[in-house]
Amino acid sequence: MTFPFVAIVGQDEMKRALTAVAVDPSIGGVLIFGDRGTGKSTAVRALAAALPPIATYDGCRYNCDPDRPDEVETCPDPTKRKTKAPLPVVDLPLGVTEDRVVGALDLERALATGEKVFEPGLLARAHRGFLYIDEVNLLEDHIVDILLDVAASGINVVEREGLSVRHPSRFVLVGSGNPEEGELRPQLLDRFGLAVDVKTPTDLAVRVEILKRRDAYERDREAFAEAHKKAGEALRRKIVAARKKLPDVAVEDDILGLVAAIGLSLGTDGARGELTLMRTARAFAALSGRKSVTVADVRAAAPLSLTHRLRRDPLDETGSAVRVERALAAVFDGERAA
Amino acid sequence: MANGPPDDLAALVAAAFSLARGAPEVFGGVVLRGPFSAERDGLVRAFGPHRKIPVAAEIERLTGGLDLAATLSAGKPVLSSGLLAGTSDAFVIAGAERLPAETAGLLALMLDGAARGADGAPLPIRPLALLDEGEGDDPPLDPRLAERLAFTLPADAPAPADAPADAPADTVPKLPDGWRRVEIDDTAIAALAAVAPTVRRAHQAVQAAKALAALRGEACAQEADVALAAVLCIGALPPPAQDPPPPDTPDTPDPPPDDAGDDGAAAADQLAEAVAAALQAGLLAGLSDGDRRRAAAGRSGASTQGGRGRPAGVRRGMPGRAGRLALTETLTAAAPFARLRGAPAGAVRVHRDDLRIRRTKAKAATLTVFCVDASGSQAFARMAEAKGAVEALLAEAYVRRDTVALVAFRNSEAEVLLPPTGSLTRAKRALAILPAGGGTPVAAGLSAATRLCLRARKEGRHAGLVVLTDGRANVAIAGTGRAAAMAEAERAAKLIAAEGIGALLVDTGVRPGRAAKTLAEAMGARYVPLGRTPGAVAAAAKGLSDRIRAPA
Repeated sequence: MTFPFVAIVGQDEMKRALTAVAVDPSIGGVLIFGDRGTGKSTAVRALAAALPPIATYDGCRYNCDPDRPDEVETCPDPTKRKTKAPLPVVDLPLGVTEDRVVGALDLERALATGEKVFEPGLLARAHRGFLYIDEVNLLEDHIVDILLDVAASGINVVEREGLSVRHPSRFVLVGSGNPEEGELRPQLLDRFGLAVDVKTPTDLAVRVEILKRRDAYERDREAFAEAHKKAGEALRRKIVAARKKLPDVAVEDDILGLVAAIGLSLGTDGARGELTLMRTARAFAALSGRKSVTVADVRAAAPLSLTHRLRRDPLDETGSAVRVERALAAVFDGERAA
Repeated sequence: MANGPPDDLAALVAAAFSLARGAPEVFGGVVLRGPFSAERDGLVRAFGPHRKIPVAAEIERLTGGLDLAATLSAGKPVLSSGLLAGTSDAFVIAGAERLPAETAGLLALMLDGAARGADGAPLPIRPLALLDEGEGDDPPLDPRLAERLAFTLPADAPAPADAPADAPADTVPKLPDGWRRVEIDDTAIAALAAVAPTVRRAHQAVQAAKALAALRGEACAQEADVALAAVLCIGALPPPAQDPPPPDTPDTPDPPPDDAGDDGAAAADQLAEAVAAALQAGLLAGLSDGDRRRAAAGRSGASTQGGRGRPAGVRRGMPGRAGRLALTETLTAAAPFARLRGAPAGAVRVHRDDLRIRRTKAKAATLTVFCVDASGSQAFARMAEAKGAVEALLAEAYVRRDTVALVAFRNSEAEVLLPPTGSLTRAKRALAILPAGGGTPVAAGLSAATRLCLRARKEGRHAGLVVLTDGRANVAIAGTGRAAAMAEAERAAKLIAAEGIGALLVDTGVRPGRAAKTLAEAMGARYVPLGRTPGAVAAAAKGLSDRIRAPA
């Protein structure tokens, strides 16, 4: 039984970012920077457990979606018996081989029956769920490249060992890392939709509250789950409602102007940052049950979606967060004056 | 404590074992730190029934997979179940400081209950006993495991009294089933929260206090349980045969802030003091442990194991560490001999010689060690220029994802200010606090830098050295004396040449002169005077790192 998402103390930015990508996976992944033991993996697993299960076919190793004709047609495991499966959370261990990530020839079948069968890898298992990488900054470059390619295209293409396989693989990439233990390449940073910083809480009262909740959880997991069941269901309903509402959330021209102005004043490279900012603001609006994006939604989404994208002078001491805050203050003041 | 190991220390060890075995999902296991000894053997036996895992075990051995050798001789697929999926109660790993990053990651996942075997089934959570034999320059225990294993004990701690003499036996007291329901009050939780370095460690300490109370048959954790839990989880145990530390231990944990609570604050203070007192003995060991842990940062899995890295061709060989089976090529190799080997029509018979493996090439990382003279003979202005040159190189390393290390020498010693790291954040911080002034122990600086280079090489990385000094050594390792110091510096320099470490010496003297030039010659280094343009140094250093990346 996982620790309930709604019972996590503090870490609001992280929770908000994860909830936003749960509403709109097209925002891209979430990068969680921070100290060890701050409950990053707990939060990811907890959110997955809080989300509605996915509909798929019984025994399908690719988590194909019965409601998508394109996936039904190409499903390599056509059992045609529908079932519900919990939202997958796949842990990508460091030092994982390319074979395990993309899939490979099924050696067992090849040796036993001489059949050439594809054995799906972690990318298939993660389809429609979360792919979690602890210490993404220590992952080997070529694996990271594969993940980013698939994350962007949503399709895993395998051409190896005489196999030719394509299967859908759309997942929310969640990476965690500690910048003290190795830098992330700028290209990689930019590919994550959102980034948040989590810190070991220094406030004693917060620490005590965390410990008391964890203790209650250890003491009686069922009772603990029961105590947070209502809040968990409310969150689930909120996310489901927001997903439904999302296509109808309007982004007025003045909001688009604001988003563009923020991007301009920060000088972010490319349009990815602004696009993510807009999508995140929309997800926030949908979560609040609003029909259109407000200035406050943009304000809340901006640090999450832009801080990690600033072109960085590696030797500039000024933190990116400070620069984003400054730019936001300037843009929003101008907004008020106008 | 001076008169032989006390019984309560043995009792502590027994308690740690009970907790680790009784609730591995909370406590992870134990780290036994220290070299091999009869005492350690005794401790491992007392830990109870276990399975030993070789430190270099392949991931497939741990998670399970196709057993190729057996498959070939049987003519049908033979699956091996991984060690972690087996029925073992616990795992013991000797030389745990050498665990490859991926194995450590897998074990950490296992403790989180999130690891899966080759068949996709979740692997059970089992307690670990890691035997950490590292000392000095050795790499520290993997930080993910160090953080998850709640208890660190000296390997020569006394084994529990009723420990078995020969084979491991189940003599560890069993943790009572209801331990999770033991009461613990808020002031105790606050006290532990205030002294623990991380939230996870604080959680483990709170749970340990409950479990210790349960072991004594209590329904509520007492002050003694809390203090003991703090010693067990947060501080290392005091070494067995040593006098108690002097009362004026400089580092005591901060008392909890005043805003801890309203009426509970005073009581929390009191308890925090009790915990702090209990901690004093082991605190310093705990701190140095922290240092070694920090030094782990930046290790970037430089191992070049089979199956990792980009594909780089196929060759003959046994699958495993060296590489993964290349099936098509293997069958192609076996096919021509099918008739000869009496295979039925349409089938092939694969012999060992036919096996082909796919080779992979992991990028070998490069380490550049900066050895900076921070002595008084280096005027502060020159120091700034030196820092500028180092920063320029760091920026370069950042782009290339190389690692850097920084050694500074001044007064009478050399200090590794920055262990090998790829983190710009840490490197910048180390530079910012680079202290200056005092004597010039060139030999000590060069030796420290050489050690770093050799260690990096042992780990399969290329290493190069950039020395920034005016070469005017005046402090010998054994004492003072300019002549002795110069001679020693030259010896240290010659060692660098003998080891074939690519080096660059930047003369930072106000008037570049003979001393530095002689030193550069001795170490076979390129000599560059720090001119008016620091860019020249950066360019030269870049040339060096190019050279060590692609050795001729």
